[in-house]
Amino acid sequence: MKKTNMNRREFNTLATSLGLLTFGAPLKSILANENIENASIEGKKLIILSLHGGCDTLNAFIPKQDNEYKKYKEYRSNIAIRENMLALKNNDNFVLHGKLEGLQSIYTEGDLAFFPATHCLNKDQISRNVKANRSHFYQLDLFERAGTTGDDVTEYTGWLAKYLNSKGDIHPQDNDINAFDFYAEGRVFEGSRIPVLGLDNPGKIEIAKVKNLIEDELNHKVRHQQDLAFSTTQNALFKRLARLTNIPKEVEENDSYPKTTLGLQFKQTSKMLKQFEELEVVQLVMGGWDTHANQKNTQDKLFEDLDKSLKAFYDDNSGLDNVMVVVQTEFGRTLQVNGTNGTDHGQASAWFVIGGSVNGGQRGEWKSLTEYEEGDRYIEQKTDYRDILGTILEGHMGMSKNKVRNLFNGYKYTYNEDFIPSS
Amino acid sequence: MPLMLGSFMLTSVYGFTDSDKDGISDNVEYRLGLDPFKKNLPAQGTKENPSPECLPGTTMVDRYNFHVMNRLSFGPNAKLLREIEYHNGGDSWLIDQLEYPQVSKNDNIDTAQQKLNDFIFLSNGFGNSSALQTFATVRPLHSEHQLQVVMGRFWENHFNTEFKKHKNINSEMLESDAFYLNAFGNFEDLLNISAKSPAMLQYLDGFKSTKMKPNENYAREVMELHTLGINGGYIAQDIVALSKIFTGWSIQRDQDAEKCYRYRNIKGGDGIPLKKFVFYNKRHDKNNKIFLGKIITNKGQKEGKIALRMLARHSKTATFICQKLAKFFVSDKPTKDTINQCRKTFIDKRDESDQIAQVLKTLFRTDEFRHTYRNKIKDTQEYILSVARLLELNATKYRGKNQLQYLGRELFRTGQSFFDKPEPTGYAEASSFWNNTSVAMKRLQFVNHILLKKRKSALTRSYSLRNFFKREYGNEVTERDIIFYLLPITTGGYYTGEDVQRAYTLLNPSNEDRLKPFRLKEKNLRNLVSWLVSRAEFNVQ
Repeated sequence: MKKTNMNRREFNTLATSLGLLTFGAPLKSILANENIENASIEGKKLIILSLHGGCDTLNAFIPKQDNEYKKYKEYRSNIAIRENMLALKNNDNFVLHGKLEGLQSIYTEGDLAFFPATHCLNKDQISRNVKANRSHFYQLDLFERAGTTGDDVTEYTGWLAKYLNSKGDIHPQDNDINAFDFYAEGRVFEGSRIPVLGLDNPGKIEIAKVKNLIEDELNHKVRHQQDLAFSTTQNALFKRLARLTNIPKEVEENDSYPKTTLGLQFKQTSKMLKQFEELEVVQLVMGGWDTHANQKNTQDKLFEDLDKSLKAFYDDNSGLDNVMVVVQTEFGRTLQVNGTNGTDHGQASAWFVIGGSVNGGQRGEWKSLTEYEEGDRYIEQKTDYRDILGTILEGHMGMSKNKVRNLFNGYKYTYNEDFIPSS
Repeated sequence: MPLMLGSFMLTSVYGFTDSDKDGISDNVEYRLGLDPFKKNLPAQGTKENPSPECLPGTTMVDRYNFHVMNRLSFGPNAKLLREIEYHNGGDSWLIDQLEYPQVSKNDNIDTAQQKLNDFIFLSNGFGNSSALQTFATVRPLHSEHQLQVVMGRFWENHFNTEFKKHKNINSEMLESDAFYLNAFGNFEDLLNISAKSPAMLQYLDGFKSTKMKPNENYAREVMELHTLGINGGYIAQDIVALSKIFTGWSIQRDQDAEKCYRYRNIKGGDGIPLKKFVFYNKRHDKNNKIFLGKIITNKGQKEGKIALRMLARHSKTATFICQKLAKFFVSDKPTKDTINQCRKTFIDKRDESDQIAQVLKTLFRTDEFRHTYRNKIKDTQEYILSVARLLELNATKYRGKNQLQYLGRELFRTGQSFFDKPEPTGYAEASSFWNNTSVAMKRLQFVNHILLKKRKSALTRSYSLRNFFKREYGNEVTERDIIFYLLPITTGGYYTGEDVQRAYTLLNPSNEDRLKPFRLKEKNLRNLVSWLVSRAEFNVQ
């Protein structure tokens, strides 16, 4: 799996003898960790797709039962979805938004599991009726470090960074692409000892141009110790970029992806998965979900893009045998329509997971809209997001329970047998 | 070993002779006025006794001066080099910087800033964040009070406010000016400027804090982020008490300011009123409060002043501010000794009007500052501004769009624009928070945009490196002038013979003949400069 290369080894020795700091951690401690067992099951991949802005998932998974649908129409009045809704096989509670045809077919295959009321409060907070923060920034930050509402953060490490750090066999000086982040400003990989390639849009970057700037420089070994911190970053970038730009033509270009930012991200992800065995985690991001106004039209376009991209990715990777895609958002939106034909920041939202080893279906509870009282504005949380992620990390990625808990800052998640049956 | 390999490769690949094996081929040495049979290496030896045959700008004195310029200004350029020469070294320059700051907006030094402010107001109006970027880049590029501007930026970031929260350009400009003018002053004054600033009162919701509904936002952050630090020993009750102390601190319309010429001529500016601080006694909580163990009885607005004084004089504040300054100027992980020396000055001089200047003097005298060079990575603002200074981009040319408006856009694209940090923490001083492949990539794209882009944007078209060198060295400018100006300045005095060879190849790609005259071409100059500013050497300071 690893490509060895004399230059790199030389460089390692040099770097180690200088006692450098790379990415916040002394190399010594990285080397000391080299014996930690590699827990992940070979070839398993995890894709996180963040819908930024707070997706109104009440319009994606729409309550189907007569009374509940009536209440839904009351809440949403003129922006309620009234036509073209798609049935979910063997599910009496929900129907899908009309633009989500691809998701419907994946659901029929049994490869889509959804959790209609997911959020970040712990059990105690739910019982005390605490509300989560409704700031985009706060919630993004919270999900990126796998935190709980209101916790004190003294040392920040993203949860995917912790995942990478927990693997002892990855060496920071290798040019492996273990992870890729399309949300370059995100913090989910912050604190990673392994350099993570983070680029907003690799398709659009004129790689050749920027590469020429320092390519010779990187081959040039004479360098002062003091300049190595940034040089290491540049090196990490260019070693990986070089591999990224050299993906051979044989890795087929698939034309079924929509030509949108998200479509291109999935297309690029698919190419990378085929080319780089070592690639394990990718974060994708899709913006525009903050629908305070004119929600109906905006959402139609967004859902169509999301659906087509996901379906193309699913087909391109033959039913995602080893891959799992988690679709998440920072919060759901208000039950009621606001004054500008939109909805405002809310609480729980639907998260869903697509993958061959998923046991498809509705895997989280739901409080019927008919049970909400006058003045209630938000969807109540029924699923802790860490139960979803924890189940995936344990059941799909093969991590031990303790390691997953470490990722979640000690939080005790519950394994969901219905979602991924443990073998 | 790598060095020998490098020179071997150069001779074998390019087929040049390098008689003295210093990495520079004989032909190039002739052209640069070096002796091809004597090794030209970077200086070795001590400050007092540099090796005689060293490459220009690499002695310990040169390196110390570059160190001072890199840390205490927004980067060396021809003008700053002349100033350092005039002061006979970095040490007396920095004392001069600390002792003669600009103290009033009216002493006519900042004419560039003043002209630009007027320009912004007249042509952009309010609500335009890109105009603010332009505003913030003028002093870093043009002011002679570089250290004061650096410190102004430090305070602006320390007491961070986000423009988007209030969308009032004037609030940010007022605050920014006040931090700049008091940059070396007393910390308590700085804290008061921030607490009363309309930008801060809106950003952390203080303006709507009343006795019925005290808002804790500012009270929490002023202790956690501005003074005591997160482990500063205060408890939840202190936050509640402090929020009550600040009830009634609010903002109102500044009608006097609105009468001025500048404001009346803004395009659509009358839509957003100018703001100033006001205290509403009616909204103030008049009960006794226990804050940090002291009972504070009802004194109206004065209570806030008392609380700020307690915070400014707290020993935890001294530690917190000094470690931040040390991280900013010296090292991402400064030693305890450095921090303690500054802390002592901070506490001893707390009644003096130049408290911060004294702390900085102590900091710049520490062994750690004087002897550890090039161990900090420039943050993105520092990086972009240092490129702009090197190219001597001009803020005062504003026919249509000026160069700095493009620079503002680049700052935005690279993710560290001014007044845009949403979190009250400001941008982190230590690079581990932001140094990643994405930052490296964006910096390269920036260089590509401003120096190499084929489709000429107004920025690439608006300056000429060729003219710059002709201005500096006259029409007879030589390869030697250019290379030994650019290499030391972009590497802080740390470069090798191989770097000289590579620089020469970029500057004069087709002309290895030692007899042909040198022709200065803009394209070659740009290739050379873009290589130099892309290297890790230019990304560290």
